[in-house]
Amino acid sequence: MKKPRSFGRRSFLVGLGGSALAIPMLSSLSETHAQSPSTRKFISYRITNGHFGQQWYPQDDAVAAAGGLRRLGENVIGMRLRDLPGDVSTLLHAGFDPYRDKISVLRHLDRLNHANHNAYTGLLGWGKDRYPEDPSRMAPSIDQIMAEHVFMGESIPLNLTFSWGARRPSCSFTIGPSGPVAVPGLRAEEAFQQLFADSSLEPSVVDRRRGHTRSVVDHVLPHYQAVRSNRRLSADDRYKLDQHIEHMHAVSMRLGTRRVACVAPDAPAGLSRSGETVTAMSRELVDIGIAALRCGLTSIVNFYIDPDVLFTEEHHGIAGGHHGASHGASAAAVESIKNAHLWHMDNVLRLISELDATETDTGTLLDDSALLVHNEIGNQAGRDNTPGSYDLNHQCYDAQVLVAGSCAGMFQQGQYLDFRSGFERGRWTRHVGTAYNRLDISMLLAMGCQPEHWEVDGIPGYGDLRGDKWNRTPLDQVVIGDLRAGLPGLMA
Amino acid sequence: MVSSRTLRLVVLGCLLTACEGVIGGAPSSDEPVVEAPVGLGAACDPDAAPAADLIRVHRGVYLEALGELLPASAVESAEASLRSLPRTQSGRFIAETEVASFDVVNAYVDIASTVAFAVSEGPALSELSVCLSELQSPPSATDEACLDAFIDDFGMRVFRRPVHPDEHTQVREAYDIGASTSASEGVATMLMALLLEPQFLYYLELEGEEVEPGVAALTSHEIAARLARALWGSIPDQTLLDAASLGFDGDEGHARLQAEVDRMWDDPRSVTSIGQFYRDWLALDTNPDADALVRFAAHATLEEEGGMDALFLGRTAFIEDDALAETYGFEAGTRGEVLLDAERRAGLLTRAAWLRTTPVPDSNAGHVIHRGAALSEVLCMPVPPPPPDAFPPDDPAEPTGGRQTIRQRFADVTQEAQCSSCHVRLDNFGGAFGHYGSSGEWIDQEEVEFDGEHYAMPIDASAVVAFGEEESVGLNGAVQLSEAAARSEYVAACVGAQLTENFYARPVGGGDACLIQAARDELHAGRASLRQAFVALIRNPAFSLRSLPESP
Repeated sequence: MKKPRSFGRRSFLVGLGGSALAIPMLSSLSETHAQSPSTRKFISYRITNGHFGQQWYPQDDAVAAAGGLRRLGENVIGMRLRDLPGDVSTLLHAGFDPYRDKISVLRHLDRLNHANHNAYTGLLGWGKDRYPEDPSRMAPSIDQIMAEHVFMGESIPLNLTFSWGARRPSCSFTIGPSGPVAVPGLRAEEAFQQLFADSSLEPSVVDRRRGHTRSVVDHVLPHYQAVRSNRRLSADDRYKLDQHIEHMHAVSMRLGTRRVACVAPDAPAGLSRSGETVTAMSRELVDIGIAALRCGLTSIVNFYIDPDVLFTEEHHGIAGGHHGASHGASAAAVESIKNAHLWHMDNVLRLISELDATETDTGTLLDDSALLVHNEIGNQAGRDNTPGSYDLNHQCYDAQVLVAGSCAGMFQQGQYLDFRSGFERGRWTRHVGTAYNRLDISMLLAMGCQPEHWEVDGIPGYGDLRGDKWNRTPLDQVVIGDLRAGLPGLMA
Repeated sequence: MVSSRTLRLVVLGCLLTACEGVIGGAPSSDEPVVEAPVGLGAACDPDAAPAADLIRVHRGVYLEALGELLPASAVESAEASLRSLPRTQSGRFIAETEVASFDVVNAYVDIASTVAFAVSEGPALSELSVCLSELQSPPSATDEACLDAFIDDFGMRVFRRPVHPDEHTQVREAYDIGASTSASEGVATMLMALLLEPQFLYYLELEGEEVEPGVAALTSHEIAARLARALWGSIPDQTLLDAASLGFDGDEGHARLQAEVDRMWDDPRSVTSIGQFYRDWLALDTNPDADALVRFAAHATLEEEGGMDALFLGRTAFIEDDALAETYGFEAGTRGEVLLDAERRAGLLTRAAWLRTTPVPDSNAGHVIHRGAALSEVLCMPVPPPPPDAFPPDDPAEPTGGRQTIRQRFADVTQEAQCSSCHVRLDNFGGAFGHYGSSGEWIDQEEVEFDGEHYAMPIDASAVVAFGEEESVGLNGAVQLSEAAARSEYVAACVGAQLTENFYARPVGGGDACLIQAARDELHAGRASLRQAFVALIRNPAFSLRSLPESP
């Protein structure tokens, strides 16, 4: 049996939102205090099918009117968002104005695996098919690394998903013996059921059941040890049991973690899936995620809100679904993509405003958080937003990135940061950007991780850094920089 | 029907490694490992006992077991948690050998806790056991007797064998955890512990007698657990446990075992399990037409009790929607059992689910190379992953004009030796399916839209195929390919290997060669049904043995 490469004691630590935070042991409504090793929160919001830079970034004339971009560090130029006249951009409209000092827009971050959906990187895809040479060399998604090394198993990623069918996609993945294993997401009803369904129980009952469950886990653990000592088991068999035992220890520890007081969200209305309900359903997911953070049920939430086909023509002006429109370059398709992004921005704005409205000991929940808004495909606007050009393909250059919250002072906020090197690339974008992997590393560092937490065999860097393949950016056409440092200009 | 796993293997790739040779032979240095059933190429050594890796209860078995053990209302209360139990890899039956990840273990705890408290606090408890619902705290002598009986009886179902005295004590101690609060919470903690014990979550085949150095016999309860897993996808029922308690040794025991196999095969639960076998073998987990294919295969296996001919040549189909009716050339509204066109369809390889591929841009064709790779994998001749630096700059699947079919386009860019060694096989296997569009519909000619022009080209479905090291066969079209597969000894061995792999819920190895051979000998040339092949597996002496690790 092939064993996974080591990633610390609990190399398979993953999140499953609901079950990880599980009821019926939930004591979220009791008046106790969280004892998490960190008060920082990580939230990711995934958008699909690329973006148009003309819609997402500040316009050149507005930037010029504000004095232009100035050099902030090596390969980074930028400016304060508050200095921009008018809206930040078409998508970052006036609704974001109250939060200009708490968000940053990042530009010219290039994914190295540039030619397909969900290619492997921090939280955008498990991409086993796209890393066929040696999948065991991959690291888990960045949320998993945080869960293991920052929260020590006490806070498990909550993956909230908007898809349906048999699959429960999420952006979170761990690494099994034969490569990445996607962590299933939870729909709103499932997440509510697991997180808040026992809110009708007395807190003392919830606490007691949680305690009983922990005692049973501890009671059973020695039985695994006993089986493990059986001489008829092979070394591989014992390894399996070792892992099981390790995970049971982690579950026991989780059950011993106390929770903070909070208010449960409204139960999902059980809406049927249609274009009419898509907005209400997304709000349910957002509200559950916010409540889980407020309740201390988790410190990591990933949103995989991907309605695609429910972006219907009659309600959202999108024919053929989001993906379909993203492959068209007509004016109608471009308008459709804008509408899809505006819809996502409503969710993002709600996340930001609700997090900022939640006070903590050190400020607001937003201040404690790193909220990463990202897209699994890059800028589809031709060569760096060539006017009128909508070069729709699967290239992943110039990724759409917004970071909100200072992560307890780890990020400088309120900025428009451009990470281009100034060199001509020549094919899809005019400028050579900085490796997207550096953004992943920035998130990991901000949350308190150290390089040894994400590096494989001590090789610097997170994720895919190979280059020079048919679907990868040649490494001489991207700025790699210090793979143990965060992005200059972003890190405080 | 191309799975992501298949796509990983093929897509546009050229291969540095040879696709010739004995499947399962040792790869040369630096060659990617091809995961073919190694037992397929190994000779039967009567002295070699099959391996017995520690296997965890598969998700499907786990869910079925909960349904068998507990009142439905309690299981339903944990529906959200049950859904969150991760689905492990479904292709090729290997999921149970994987290490349990954190989310799996975490889900086990969550589910056990949820269902245990749900049972303990409502009418479900009396449904489970009347005397448990009447327990007092502290327990009276009557209560103690109730607990003892429950632990022994219910525990036997959970552990799939009698509960040992030390285990009995441990379960009783788990009762005391919750009983410190109330008797009902004691029941909850007792049930929770049972559902979290390794004896439930793992197949611990550790108790059989060591019949010779390094080889142990399975106990009759261990055999029963395997049978229930393979035939029902569940745990043994009381009848099977009772039979196991009487033993499966000797003539009387063998007859008892055979009677149980017959009973289980005829039980409706086998339909689901056999269906899952085909889903896994053919990697149909997300295929929209999977149900129809599985319905056909289960019909061929269970109702017709067929063998290779039924599987590879059968033309019965079951239509439940207009899309499938249209794919098979029937009028909209056609429903139920139909007989497919003998000129166009024969067996499972010509079913819509298996034929489904990613659409070819601007063309009505199916992706013949994807199909070739899928067929290679299904017939135990998988190709190694393509070297990533050998991809052509443009995808040959995309039309470049109106003069070449997809097959011709791929042939053009895979002529070099490093590509052709495997692409010859992919081309011939896939090319035979040239008359099926990407949804499995029949197409008379390949049509392409290019630069605003419409082109129509004749389809060449001729192929030269070889199964394993058998002699090459020239044929034309998928029906003839299916006929060749039905006659092939290698394909019979492959199906036997799949049956064996499914039975053991792990990849087969050299120690399984005797079992595979037994199944092959039954299946080859239509001699016997899949049922008989399955029985042959169980009757083989190797079935009741397991090898022991050399250096524990």
